[in-house]
Amino acid sequence: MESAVSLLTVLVPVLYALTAANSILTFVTRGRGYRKGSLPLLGVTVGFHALLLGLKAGLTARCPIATLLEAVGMMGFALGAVFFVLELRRGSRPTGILILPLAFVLVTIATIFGREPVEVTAALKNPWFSIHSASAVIAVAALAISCVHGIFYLLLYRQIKTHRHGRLFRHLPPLTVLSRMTLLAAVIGWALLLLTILAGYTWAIESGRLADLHGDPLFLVTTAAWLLYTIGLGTRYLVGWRGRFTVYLSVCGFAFLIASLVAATLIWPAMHSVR
Amino acid sequence: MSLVAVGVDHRTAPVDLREALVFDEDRARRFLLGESEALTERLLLSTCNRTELFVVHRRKERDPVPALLELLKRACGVDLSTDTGVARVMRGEDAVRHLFRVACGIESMVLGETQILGQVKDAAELASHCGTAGPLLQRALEAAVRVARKARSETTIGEGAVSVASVAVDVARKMFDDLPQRHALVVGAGETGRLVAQHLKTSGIGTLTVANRTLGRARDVADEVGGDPAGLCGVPPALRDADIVVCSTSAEEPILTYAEMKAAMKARKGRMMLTIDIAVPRDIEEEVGRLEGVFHHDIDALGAIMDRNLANRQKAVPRVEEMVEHAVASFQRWERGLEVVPAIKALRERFDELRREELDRNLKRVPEGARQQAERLTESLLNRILHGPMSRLHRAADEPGRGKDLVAALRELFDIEENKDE
Repeated sequence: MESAVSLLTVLVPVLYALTAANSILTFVTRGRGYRKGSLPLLGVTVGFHALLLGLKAGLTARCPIATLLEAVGMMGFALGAVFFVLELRRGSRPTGILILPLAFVLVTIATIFGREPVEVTAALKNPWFSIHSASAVIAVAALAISCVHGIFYLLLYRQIKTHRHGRLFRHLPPLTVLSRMTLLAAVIGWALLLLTILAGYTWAIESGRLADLHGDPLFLVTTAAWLLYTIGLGTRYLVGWRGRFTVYLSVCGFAFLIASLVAATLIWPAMHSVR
Repeated sequence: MSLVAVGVDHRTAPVDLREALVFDEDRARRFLLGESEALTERLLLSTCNRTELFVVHRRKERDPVPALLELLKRACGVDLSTDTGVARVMRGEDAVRHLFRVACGIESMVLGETQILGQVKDAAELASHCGTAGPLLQRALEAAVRVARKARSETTIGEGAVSVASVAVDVARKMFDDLPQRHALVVGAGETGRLVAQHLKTSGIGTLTVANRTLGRARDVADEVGGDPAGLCGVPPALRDADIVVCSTSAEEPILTYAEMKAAMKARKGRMMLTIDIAVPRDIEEEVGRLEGVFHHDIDALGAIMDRNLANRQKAVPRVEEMVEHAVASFQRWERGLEVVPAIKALRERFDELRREELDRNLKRVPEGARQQAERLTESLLNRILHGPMSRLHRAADEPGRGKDLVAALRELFDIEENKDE
């Protein structure tokens, strides 16, 4: 099993490099040949990465997300996996140019600097913690993808509205596709954010840390962001609002989430730490 | 062998002459299969803006141009030989270059238009079907299609719409990925409205309503394009479902007001709408463009888009010409290579003949196994001896004149006689 892990540790960044290069070529050349191979290549890359994570979990008897570098690697995987899911539902390959190179960078950083095995405390081996942290990382990745598509939507919207058909007009998919991708990624992120909150809450109860949780800024910020997304998605699905409003909510929701997470981590670094 | 092209296009011939020279598929087929003295390899490219004949001319044969002009005269009743300057005649490299330029769209009336490549392919298919496309023509056509595809994928020569109808479809495609599920409303059933409706339909729009002041005219156009007719009173309710609205009436006052559009957008719950106003005076109030989800384009906006797209295509011309020159040079290298092929074949056959003679003379009483071994040995020896000279001969063919000199030397040194018809 260890030799398989060693092999995949080398192979996976190489595959991400290929998907990143492919996404750049797809965007720049709009070549059909590149497009044809991009989805299977991304599928294989994500599949091998999932296998690597599974093997690592088997070897260490925990979810490989307990350290910062493991979380970085998981974020790379999450970006690739969520984009793959969106692609399967008739997505927009040109927009991979901002997502897949980032996934490659994150996976490469995690691979280069995270080779040494790390011992973690028993608390971090708890399955609820694993669910909590894994779903948090994937949720952030999904919301980031939603935000990227939302920004592309707004740029293309502006170009069509002002009759200035620039490079983006030629390269980007139609507004309806961008809108769908924004929405779908937001739904995935919203559901996983809810799972993150619930799993974190359950883990806090199990480990007797419920009192800490109530004053935890990260918990509050995440809950607020989840509520913001709930309003945005609610207006879309229940009220039927479409167009730029829901896209703005997605972009603002992600900006709020990231800004608050960074601020909360910097101001109260000890509040969400796990020992 | 060399390519010769004779024909007329929008630059050399007026429209009435071009009209007389247009060939539909049946006529083109009859023309290609018709009797002709020496013109066995021929291709006919006939579009609304050009009719051109490409033939392969063998050096020892007579000049094919008079025969080609005669053929055209017989087929269309137009004598191009008397009207100097109308028919363009191109030979050899110029004919090849012209074919490549045509396929790339840089000889077209609308620079970079995409239809021409399909028309070149159709012409090639027809010539192939009629058995009039030989190796040289086929190779030239393949190269033309290749360079045209390269030009379209690597430059902006075919990018951006340059007509009102295609700009409308272009913008619609950037808004909606599912045109077959979308509904278009064309207000005005004049010539412009009819053309736009036709273009929308051929671009795959799902359903189409043609509205006009006189319902009979709306019905005529709707029947022609496969849409539904409506009177002008049917326009406001149709706005609720229409994703694309094109107006081209001659009305003095706007027929779509800001208030009507605002109400329609409210009913649509923000679903996007593309509005195109081709009319002068305008049919749609300008303020409509301020509404959320409405992408409004009047005639000036469309004109500006078309100008920018055309300028963008114009910028790509030098790069496309570079590609064409590269393809012409490559084709010529291949053509020169053809000159040495018969000599290479004859030389090989000559040496093989000598080898067999010697084997037969010396190995008459040798057992079969040993003979086979000797066969293999001499064959391998021959391959090794000839490999170097053959490769050099191929390379020499790249340099104009050098291939011919070497072939002449070979002929004299080894007493070979090649079959040039192969």
